[in-house]
Amino acid sequence: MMTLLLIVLPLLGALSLFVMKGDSIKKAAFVISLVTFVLALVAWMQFDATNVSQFVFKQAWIPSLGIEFSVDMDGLSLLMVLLTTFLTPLIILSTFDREYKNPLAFYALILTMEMALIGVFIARDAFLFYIFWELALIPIYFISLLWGGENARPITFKFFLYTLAGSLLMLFAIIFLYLQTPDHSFAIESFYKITLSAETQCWVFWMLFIAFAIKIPVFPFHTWQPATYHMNSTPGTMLLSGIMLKMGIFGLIRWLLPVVPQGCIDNADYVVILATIGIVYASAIAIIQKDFKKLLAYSSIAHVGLITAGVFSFTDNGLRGASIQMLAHGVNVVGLFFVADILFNRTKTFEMKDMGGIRTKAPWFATLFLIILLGSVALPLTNGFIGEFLLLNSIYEYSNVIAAVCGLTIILGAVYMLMAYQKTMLGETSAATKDFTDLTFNEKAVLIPIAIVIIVTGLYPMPLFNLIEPSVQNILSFINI
Amino acid sequence: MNVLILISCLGLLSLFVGLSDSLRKYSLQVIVAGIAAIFVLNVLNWPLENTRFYSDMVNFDHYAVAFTGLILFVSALVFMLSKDQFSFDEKSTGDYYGIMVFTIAGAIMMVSYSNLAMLFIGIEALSVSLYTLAGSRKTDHGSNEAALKYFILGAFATGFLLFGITMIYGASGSFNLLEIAAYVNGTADLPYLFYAGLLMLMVGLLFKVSAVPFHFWAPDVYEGSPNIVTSFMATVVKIAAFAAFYRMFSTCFGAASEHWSLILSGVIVLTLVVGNFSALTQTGLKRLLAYSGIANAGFMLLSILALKGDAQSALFYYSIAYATASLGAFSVLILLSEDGKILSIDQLRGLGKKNPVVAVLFTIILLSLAGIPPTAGFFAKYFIVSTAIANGYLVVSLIAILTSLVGIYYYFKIIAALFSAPQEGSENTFGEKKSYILILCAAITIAAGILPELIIGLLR
Repeated sequence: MMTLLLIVLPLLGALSLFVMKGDSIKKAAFVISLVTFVLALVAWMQFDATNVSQFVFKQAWIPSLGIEFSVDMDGLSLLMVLLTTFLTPLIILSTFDREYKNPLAFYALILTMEMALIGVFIARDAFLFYIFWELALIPIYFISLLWGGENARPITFKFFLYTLAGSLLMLFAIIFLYLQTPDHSFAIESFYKITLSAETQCWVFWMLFIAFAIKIPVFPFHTWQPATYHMNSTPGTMLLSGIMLKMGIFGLIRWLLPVVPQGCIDNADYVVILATIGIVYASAIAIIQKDFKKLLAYSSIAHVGLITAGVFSFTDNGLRGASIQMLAHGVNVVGLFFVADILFNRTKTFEMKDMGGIRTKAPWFATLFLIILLGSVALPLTNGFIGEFLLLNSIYEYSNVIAAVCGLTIILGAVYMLMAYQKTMLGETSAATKDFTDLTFNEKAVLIPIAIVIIVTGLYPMPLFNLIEPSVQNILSFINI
Repeated sequence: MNVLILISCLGLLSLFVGLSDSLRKYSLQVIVAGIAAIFVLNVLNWPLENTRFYSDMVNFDHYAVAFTGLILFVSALVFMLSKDQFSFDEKSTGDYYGIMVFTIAGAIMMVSYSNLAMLFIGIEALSVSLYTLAGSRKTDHGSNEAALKYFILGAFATGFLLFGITMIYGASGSFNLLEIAAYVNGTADLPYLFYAGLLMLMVGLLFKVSAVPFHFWAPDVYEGSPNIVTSFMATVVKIAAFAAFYRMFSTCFGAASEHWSLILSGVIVLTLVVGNFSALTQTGLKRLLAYSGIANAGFMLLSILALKGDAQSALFYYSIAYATASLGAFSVLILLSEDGKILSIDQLRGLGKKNPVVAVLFTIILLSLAGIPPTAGFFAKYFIVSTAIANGYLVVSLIAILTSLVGIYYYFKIIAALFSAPQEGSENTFGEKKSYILILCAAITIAAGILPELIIGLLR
C-alpha cells in the first residue's frame, strides 16, 4: 500500500494543481512533495532491513500477457525513493524566488516527473519498469523545451532522441527476455531465473547497457549531456542530474547485473575502460571550463563514471559505494546547480572570470557553497568521501592500474572545484558582484538541509549501509565469480 | 449477415433522403442513427450460432464481427466529423453520404469473406466508391488529380489481384478459403502456378494497404482528396484492407510461409524506412499524415508476417489504436484548415497559447502515433512487435523498433511547434474552436493504452 501511495500521491497532487490559481500553485506543489517525503520517511521507519521485498503491491493488469502492476521496495529502492522525495521539495522550493511562466504546467510536470521516477525505482515488473522509464521522459521533455534557455528546441531534441534510442533498444531486449522466461511473465523474479547462452547474453547485455549508459551518461554516450544541462532551467537541470541519471545506475544494478550476469562479466573490461576514459576526459575538460554551469555538467560525468566502474567490479564494496555515492551525488549536484542558479540570478552570468569577492558580500552563501563543494570533492567526513573511498577500493580489487587512474579524479576534482570557488568567491569584487546580496530565506531553506545531509551522512553513514546491505548481497548472489 | 444487408439498405435510404430538399438536412442524423443500430445488432451477433451464410460466401466468425464492429464505430465517428464538409456541393451531399455507406458495405465484405470472389466484390465496392469520393471536389485541381491517380493505379492493382485469384483457382480448383487451405496443407510440391498467383495476390493487397514500393499513389491521393474523404481512407479503408489481407494469409497460406515471408519481410523493412524517412521532410500536416500512414502500414504488416499466436489480436488492437489516433489528427486538420488549402506545421505554432485544450488533446494523439506510453499507440506497437519476435522475426522487429525513432522525431517536431511562439505576422484564428471527436479519440487513446486487456481478450 505504501508503495502505491508513493506513486499516486504526486500524480493526484499534479492533477489537483489544476483547480488552483496564482501563488497557491507553487505552495501546493511544495506541500504535496513534502508530504511524499514524509511518507518515504515513514516507509523507512517501518522498513525491515533483512527483507529484500517489502511493501509489495500487486494488481493484475494485462494478465494474458503476463504483465502485472506490481511494486515493492528493497533497501536500494528505498534509498532511491528517499533521494527522489527529498530532492523534489527542495527543487520546488528553489523556484520560490524566481518567476517561471505558466506555473500550473510547470509544477504539474515536476510532480508527474516525481511520480514516474519513484515508479522506476519501485517497479518489480519489467513492463511496468519500462512504462515508468518512458513516462519520466515526457515531463522533462516539456520542461526542457518550454522553460529551457537559448536553443532549447534543437538541444532538447538531441537529448530526447538520444535517450529514446536507448529506451527502444531496451524495449527490444525486454521483449526478448520476456519470451525466454519459463512462465512467460515480466516479473522480476522470472527475469532473474532466465538462463541464456553466453553469446545471447552478450548482445542482450549491450542493448540494455547502452540504454542505461545513455541515461547516466557513460563515455562515449555523453554528448547530449553538457548542452542539455547548460541550456535547461535550474529545476530541469536538477531533476536531470540529481535524480534522473540515477535511473541509469539503478537500472544497471537491478535490471542488468542479475539478469545477464555472464554478459556483464564478459564485458566488464570494456565498461570499466570506457568509464575510466570518461572520468579522465570529463575532468580534464572541467578544468578548462570558464562557465560554472558547464563545469558542473562535466564534473557530473566524471563522478558517475566512477560509480559505473565501481558497479562493474562486482564486489560488495563496489555496490555499496555506488549506492551511497548515488545518494551523495544527487544531493551535492542539486546543491551545486542551485549555487550556480543563485550566482546567475545575481550576476546574470555563468562566466567565472566576471565574478569574485562574493564571500565578503554574502558569508552565508559562501559557507554553504563551501560545505557542498567539500562534499563534492569527497573530503573525509562529508558524504562524498565514503562513497568514493569504497568505489576506489572496489576498483582496486578489479585492477590496480585503473584504480590509480581513477584516483586521479579525486585530485582533479579538487583542483577544478577549488579553482571555481576561488574565482567566484575569493579575491576582489567585480562589477557584476559588487551588489551581491546574501541568501534569502527561501534560498537558505534549500541549501541548509542539503548541507546538513552532507555532514550527517558523512559523519554517520551506518543507517544507510544497514539499509542497502541485504539488497547488495541479494544482487551479488546472482553473480558467481 | 443481416449487417451486410442492412448497411446496404442504409446506403439506399440515404440516397433517397438526399433527394428531397426538405429531408436532406437530416441525412447525417439518419445515417449515424442507422450505423449505431447496425453496430448494436452486430455486437449481439457475438455469441455466434451460425456463422456461414450465402452458400459459404461469408463467414461471420469472431474475427469478422470484431472488425465489422470497429469499422462501423470508426465510420460513425467519421460521419459525425463530416458536418459541413461537403458544403462545396450542397445538392449532392446525399449522394456522397450514400457512396460512403456503400464503401462501408464493401469494407464489411472484406473482413468477413470466406470466398475469394466475395473478397473481390468487397474490394471493388470499396474502391469504386472511393474513386468517386476522392474526386468529389469537382472544380478542384488536386481532387481531380487524386481521383484519376487513384483510379488508374487502383484499377491496375485490382487487375493483379484478379489475376492472382484466377491462378490460385487454377492450382487449387476452388475460390473457397478453407478448400484452398486444405489444398495448401495437403500438397507436398505446390506448382509454380500457385506461387505466381500468391505473388500477384500479394501485390494487389500490398497496393491497397499502401506498402512500399506500391505506395506512390498514397501521398497525392491523401493530399488531393477532401479532408473528410482522406480521414475515411486513412482509417476505415485501411483497417478493411489489412483485415482482408490477414484473413487470407492466416487461413490459407500459413503452411507455405517459407515462400512468402522473406518477400514480406523485405516489403516491411522498405515500408518502415521509406515511410518514416519521407515523412521527416514534410512540411504540410496532411501529407505528413499520409506518410505516417505508410509507416504505420509497415507495423501492421508485421502481424501478417507473424501470422500465428497473438497476431490477429495484435492487428485488431493496432487497428483501434491507429484509427483513433489518425481520426484525432484528422479532426484537428478539419478543425483548423480550410479544405483544399495546405496546413503547414509552422502554422500550428502558437496553438498551445491560443487554444490549450486542443493543443493538449492533439499532443496526446501525437504521443500515441509516436508510440509513447501510456497511450494506445505504445501498447499497439509493443504488442505487434512482441508477437513478431515470438515467431522468430528478430531482425525485422529490431528495424521496426529503431525506425519508430524517426517517427518520434517528426511527431515531436509537431508537438514542439504547438507549444512554441507563433510566427511573425501569421493570423491564425484558432480561437475557441473545439471538437468532440477529438476529445473522444484522445480519451479512447488513453483508456485503451491503460487497459488493453479489455480489447486483446476479444480475439485470443
